[in-house]
Amino acid sequence: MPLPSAEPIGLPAPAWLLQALLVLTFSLHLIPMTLTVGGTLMALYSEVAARLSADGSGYRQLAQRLWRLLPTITAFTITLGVAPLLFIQLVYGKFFYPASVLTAWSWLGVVPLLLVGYGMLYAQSMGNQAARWRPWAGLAAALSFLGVLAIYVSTMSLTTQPGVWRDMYAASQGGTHWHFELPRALHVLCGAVAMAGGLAAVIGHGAPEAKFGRLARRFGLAWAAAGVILQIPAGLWFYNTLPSRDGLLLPLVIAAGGLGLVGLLAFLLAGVKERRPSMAWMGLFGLTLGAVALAVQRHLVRQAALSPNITAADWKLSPQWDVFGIFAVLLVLTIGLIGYLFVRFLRAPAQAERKRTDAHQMRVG
Amino acid sequence: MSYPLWEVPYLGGGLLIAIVAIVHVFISQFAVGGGLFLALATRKAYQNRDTQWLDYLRHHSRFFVLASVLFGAVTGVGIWFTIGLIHAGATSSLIRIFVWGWAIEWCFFLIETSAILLYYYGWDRVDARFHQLLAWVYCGASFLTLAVINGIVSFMLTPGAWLENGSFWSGVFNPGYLPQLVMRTGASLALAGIYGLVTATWRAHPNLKERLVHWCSKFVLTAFALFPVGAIWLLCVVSPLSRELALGAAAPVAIMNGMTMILSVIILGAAYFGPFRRPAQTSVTFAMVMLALALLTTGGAEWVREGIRKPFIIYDYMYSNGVYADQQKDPKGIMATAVWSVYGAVDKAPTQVAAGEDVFRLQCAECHTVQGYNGVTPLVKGWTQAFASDQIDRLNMLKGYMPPFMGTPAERDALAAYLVQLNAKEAEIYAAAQR
Ligand code: HEM
Repeated sequence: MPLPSAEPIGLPAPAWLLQALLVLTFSLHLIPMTLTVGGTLMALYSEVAARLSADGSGYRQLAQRLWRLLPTITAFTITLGVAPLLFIQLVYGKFFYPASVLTAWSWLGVVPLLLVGYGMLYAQSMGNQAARWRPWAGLAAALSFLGVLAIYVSTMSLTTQPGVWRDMYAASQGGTHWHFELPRALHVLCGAVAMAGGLAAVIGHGAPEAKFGRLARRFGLAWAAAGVILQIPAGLWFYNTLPSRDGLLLPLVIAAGGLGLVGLLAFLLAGVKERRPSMAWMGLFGLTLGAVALAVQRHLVRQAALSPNITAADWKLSPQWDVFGIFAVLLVLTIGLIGYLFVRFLRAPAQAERKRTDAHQMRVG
Repeated sequence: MSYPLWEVPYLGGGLLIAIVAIVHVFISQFAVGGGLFLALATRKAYQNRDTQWLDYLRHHSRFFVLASVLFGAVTGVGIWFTIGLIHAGATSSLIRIFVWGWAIEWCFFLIETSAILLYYYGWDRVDARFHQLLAWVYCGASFLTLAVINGIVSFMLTPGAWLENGSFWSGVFNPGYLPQLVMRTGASLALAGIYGLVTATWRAHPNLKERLVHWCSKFVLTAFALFPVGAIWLLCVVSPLSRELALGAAAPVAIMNGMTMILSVIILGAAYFGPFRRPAQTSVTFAMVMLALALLTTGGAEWVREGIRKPFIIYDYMYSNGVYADQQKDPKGIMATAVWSVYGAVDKAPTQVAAGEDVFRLQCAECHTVQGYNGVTPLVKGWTQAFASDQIDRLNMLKGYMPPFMGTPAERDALAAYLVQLNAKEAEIYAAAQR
């Protein structure tokens, strides 16, 4: 196996701490990431449904709400993706760099795809509401994000399989390899659909307008149910492809599935008829916890696959506790500051929002 | 040489990095300088209750969001992906040294992204004081991202005391830190002013345009008090070899250096005689031309910064091809020791030329393509086997900006055979065409 030799410079913190930060920040990335992918698919669906159905106003409104939220959600997908990328290069660089070089062109393709997908979201949220190009821009965004998802699956799964590298590199040094795994991708996609469903349900339970609220609640419940239920075969398929299945793995998978079902149950209890925002938030929270359990499980699978190839020299330590301390304090302050800014923003009178809904209701009424 | 080389046809890795980096630096410096621009302009608009300014800012902030959180952030991810692919070894070293620096920068990045999005969505929603606060938070956080990343980027050129003590703080606050910070701050302000000129001449209400254009020009003029100071200061702290490269030893680098200076003077003059003295006459075309000149200047400056670091990727620590500065030649040779050698030894390769190609990949291809940018084929035109072997032996002495050859005599000869046949093919094609 062509494994890079150990780096001469030691790790700036113990591996367990870096792994914990990796899993933590990846979990934080996972939440907006699934909402970005699922939300874009859902907004596209609503956009098309609004045009095809006789009374499309509910769908139109759902699409608008989603398009307005998605740029911000995607901004957090990207900013929160940066941190796990940093930590994965640090702890698993020996595996990550070769896998990314083997798949270099597709890996680099993430950048233009992000520009297109994310750019289209801004076009949707800033552009004219009635424009004819909307469904096409939505389609471009959805395809771009699905492409990004597929690329991540390809490169990240190759990271855990150093056994296949040598033949790949001998065959081509041009970075043109591709290592897509369908069950792994479906597993993420089902999660994305479920999370988007949760988001729609939350929007629906919070919406003052009765008709739109009911549509969003019903629609959200349907997507959440579809995502969670389809995850069962998809997850089992993925689980079966894993090289090792010992230890905590099965309990975690069961926990994740259980949390998903609990989330779903909360949406069912929240119901379609009445507005029960707190119950809907609980549902979304349950789904999120399920996703986090899966992130932990994913990490254990990787660690199990790679540990035979990790030596003590790889994880040699030359700690920088002082700088780490500054980071830790700053992170707490950052979360506090961002929280403060968001809360103050959300409490602002929202005149614009009201003006817009008034105008809308006048048009509808 | 632990990591596989990615062969990028025609462009080569170096040019690929340069393209992505120039675009990113151009946008992100604007995003940093634009923070101060936005904060000051917002304050001015609210203080004077000037609805025309506010209207202008509303438009400007839309472009600004697109530039910072869309293009700035995504191309930033892009530059990071690219260096990881081209210089995995150096990226890995940098991350091991500076991960907490990057983590700190990431906090500022989170703050800046949140603040600018809330600012943008806050029009008609939040009160004037909170709106100004958001602009100032953005301004502070984005400057701090620059202040942190500048430590890591300047480190690569002037690692200073870190080479002896390995300390994070020596690395960040290296001898080039302040000069580069001054330069980058200047460039950021200039770009913010120029960008402001574009949106002002394009979208602003005619009553407002004159005042606004004049105001923007002040950003550009202030910047030029900073930029040259930083540049000259930097030249004083870099290694003697780097200084020579910038001032003439390597023609392309020196020409680019000169061009950057001339362009800066042109921009300065244009800003003074145009928008500052005659704001009313400034047109959007004029502003666009200034923007284009600024892009060229940014590109040139980045180019020079990369150019004077040769032959290192991290000065005095790691060569561009991933070989450590203190690495001893291994008697087993590079094909046996490099993990990603395709054949593992000269005599295991099907032909000597195939072995040479493998050596080329391990030693040279990080900077040279075969046919394209910095292509080796024209560089070795007319070389014979014996001459090539001799040159390879003295690679680092002949040209100060190449790393030493780390291979065995057999690997050297294989590389020579590979290089010589590159033009033989051409000669054959040429001869065939003549026939
Ligand atoms: C819309 C944009 C994005 C999508 C759809 C997306 C999707 C994904 C997916 C599907 C995975 C799991 C891959 C697998 O292991 O099978 C993943 C992991 C990851 N993503 Fe993202 N991603 C996006 C943006 C980003 C960005 C911009 C970054 C970094 C700058 C990033 C950093 C990461 C990292 C580091 C991991 C792996 C973490 C680990 O293995 O522990 N992502 N992403």
